[in-house]
Amino acid sequence: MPSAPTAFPSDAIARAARAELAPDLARMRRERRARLQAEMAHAGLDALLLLGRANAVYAAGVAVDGADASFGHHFPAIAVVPAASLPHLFTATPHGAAPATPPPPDLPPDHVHRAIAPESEGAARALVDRIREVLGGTTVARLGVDQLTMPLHALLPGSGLAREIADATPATVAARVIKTADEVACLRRAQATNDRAMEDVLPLARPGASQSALSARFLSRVVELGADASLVDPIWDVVPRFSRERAPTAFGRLFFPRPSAARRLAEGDVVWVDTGIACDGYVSDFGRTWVVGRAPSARERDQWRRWCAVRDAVIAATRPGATAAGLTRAARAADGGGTPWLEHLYLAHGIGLDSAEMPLVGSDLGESFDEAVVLAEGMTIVLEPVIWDDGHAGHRAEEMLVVTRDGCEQLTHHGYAPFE
Amino acid sequence: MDGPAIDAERLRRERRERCLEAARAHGIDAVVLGREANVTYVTGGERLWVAGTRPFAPAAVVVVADAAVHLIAMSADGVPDDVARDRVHFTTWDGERLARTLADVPGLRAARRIGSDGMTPRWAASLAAALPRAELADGEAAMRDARRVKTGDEIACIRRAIAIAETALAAAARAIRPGVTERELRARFVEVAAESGATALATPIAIAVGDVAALSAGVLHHGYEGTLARTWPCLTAPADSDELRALRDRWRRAFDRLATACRAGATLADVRAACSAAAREAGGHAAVRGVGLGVEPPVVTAAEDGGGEDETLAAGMVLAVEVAAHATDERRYLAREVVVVGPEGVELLTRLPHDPVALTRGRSGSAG
Repeated sequence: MPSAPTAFPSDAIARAARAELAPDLARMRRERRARLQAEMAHAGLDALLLLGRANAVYAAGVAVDGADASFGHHFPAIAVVPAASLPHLFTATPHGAAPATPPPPDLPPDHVHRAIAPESEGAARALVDRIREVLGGTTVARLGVDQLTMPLHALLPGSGLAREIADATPATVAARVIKTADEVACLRRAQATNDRAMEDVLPLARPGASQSALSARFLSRVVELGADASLVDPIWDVVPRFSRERAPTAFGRLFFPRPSAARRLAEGDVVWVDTGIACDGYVSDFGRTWVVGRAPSARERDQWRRWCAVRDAVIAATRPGATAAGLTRAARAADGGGTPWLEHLYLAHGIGLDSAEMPLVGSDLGESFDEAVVLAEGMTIVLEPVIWDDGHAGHRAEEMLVVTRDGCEQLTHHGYAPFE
Repeated sequence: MDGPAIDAERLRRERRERCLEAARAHGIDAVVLGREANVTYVTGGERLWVAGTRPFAPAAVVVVADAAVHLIAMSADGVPDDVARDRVHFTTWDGERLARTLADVPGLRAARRIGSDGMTPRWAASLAAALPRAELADGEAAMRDARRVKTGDEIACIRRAIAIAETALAAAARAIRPGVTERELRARFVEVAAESGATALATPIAIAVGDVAALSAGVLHHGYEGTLARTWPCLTAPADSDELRALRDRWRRAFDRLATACRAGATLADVRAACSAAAREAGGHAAVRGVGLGVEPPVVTAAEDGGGEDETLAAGMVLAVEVAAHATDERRYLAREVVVVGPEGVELLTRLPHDPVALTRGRSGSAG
């Protein structure tokens, strides 16, 4: 991963950590644009065309509400980023079948345009013509794109918009993987909101309660507490004792997660909880194991203690310069040589505007990928170790961390009831 | 839950048949799908994490020659039995390995024309390397044709989703009182929607609170969208002012004009003209869009955005028809209904009353 093009404001992070300062959203948008344009220069890209939700939010500062992907396809927010000037935003119309997406206050009106969803050849052509206009009518040397509809994919190479179409992803990932202090403050707020809401949901997880009732309480509580949206469907997965009770994964481990339904909880159920919400676009990730209607057994307590040992070992290894492989080694060593996570997922994943983003740690991308991932100050990751004793279920929980100058700081502040 | 019974097996079979028919009509030998709604359409089963858009990655494949549906997923857990177990392939984070998994789907190497529903620069390169003989086509256009006209079971699914959205919107409406905040109404909506079985929001919730409250929301239930919008005064002291009644009458005239224009055989240019006329009549705005597995085309407003003007509406399409009648910029009457296009005109699927007095009497909180 390339080194950060802008210096990371350690002191600001530390101040935010102490005082839990509210993020300065205007400064955040400014700094994100600067990071992105620095990475564009680094990657030799003269402009970006971004259709991905999180990338458009990052580049243009637009607030995108939670909704199904189909809404995003037909009412997109599309960002066009020149090398050195303010981005242009194509966003949902103020009058139409969708509510208006409020443009960011720091984009001048002539940088905000009516959205065109490039779902047909005609619409793709109309969008390309508008992009050419806003870029001043000249041909871009190298245009980075993140994702395309098929009509746009067919049209772009011969459109004369750019001499070369390139992948925008290396630049967007490099910019987004290091968070500014304000981004960390947003993540802190999202996680605190999620953590707080769970205090009101946990008492409801009793025999007879349905998964839908838990979702209802959780989703209304996070809205009351100020969240924008829930980007991850709430999961209250009653895990079986044996992994073979579910269809296998590529690694023969327990398949998780399963969607929630109207299923009612019963005494003794072991529930793996997994939720995520967004505040100012930044998402939380909450994971805990609950036991329904009784105290955890001695075995379950032992699983939790082993889980804590893995967590502590990984936290101790998390610092600038450590590799993802260093983290997986620490986790394995703390678990007596086992693999204490679900390999179809990961030991840890980055978090920001997407609920799982780079860096991935312990994924099936393998050892050589993990050796090449070097942690740096300002990266935010979520640990999600799993202790599994086949025949006796297991323990899964999550902890959000930010990598600091000399280690890391936990952004999750939620206990381990009913284990502590 | 009210409404006609849904035959889940028939629902999936008829969707697959329509996909195959559309692929053949587009001259496509296989479709490679990454959009959640398309994956649900051909495989069935509940999908997680449908919010937002993700970069394209293949999750389902339909091979036309042997009518086989393949799923690329972390596990076969929760996948309906009519997707054969040997057609569920493990996904991976590794793009190159995923491209090989895709190329190994039986019949794909023989396919000359493959329709994809999305693309990224990396996938364009991976597909060219893994399937060098294939020509890439617009699979989304084929899926759009397949999904355009709904089966009876799909309409029943949409009715159920609408019933959930109506129950939740009515609950939020009953919470309208002097001083209520938008956030409180939003919290009430999501609470009742989740309790009633909604798994995700189809569209953002839009709530405007003033002298009257305009509430607009859509939910997903088993993938299908239920959506509507209503404008109500404070309901703790149900009253219907002359001004609101006059605005609602104006809305009604404009809505009826627009709904009447949504007949089988009408072109999108006709519908666009009807939107302009309805917007003028209402002194506000008007729009029509498809409803199905979330938001679907066509999306028609008074403004033109390129192409599709010759496309026609067909019986069995489901549309959201929205009109806002404005008294001033601040005072407006917004409502959205869902209709099925029929041979003789539209059938209304949304049932929640507009009249605030009828709503507080609890005459209807859900369809059926």
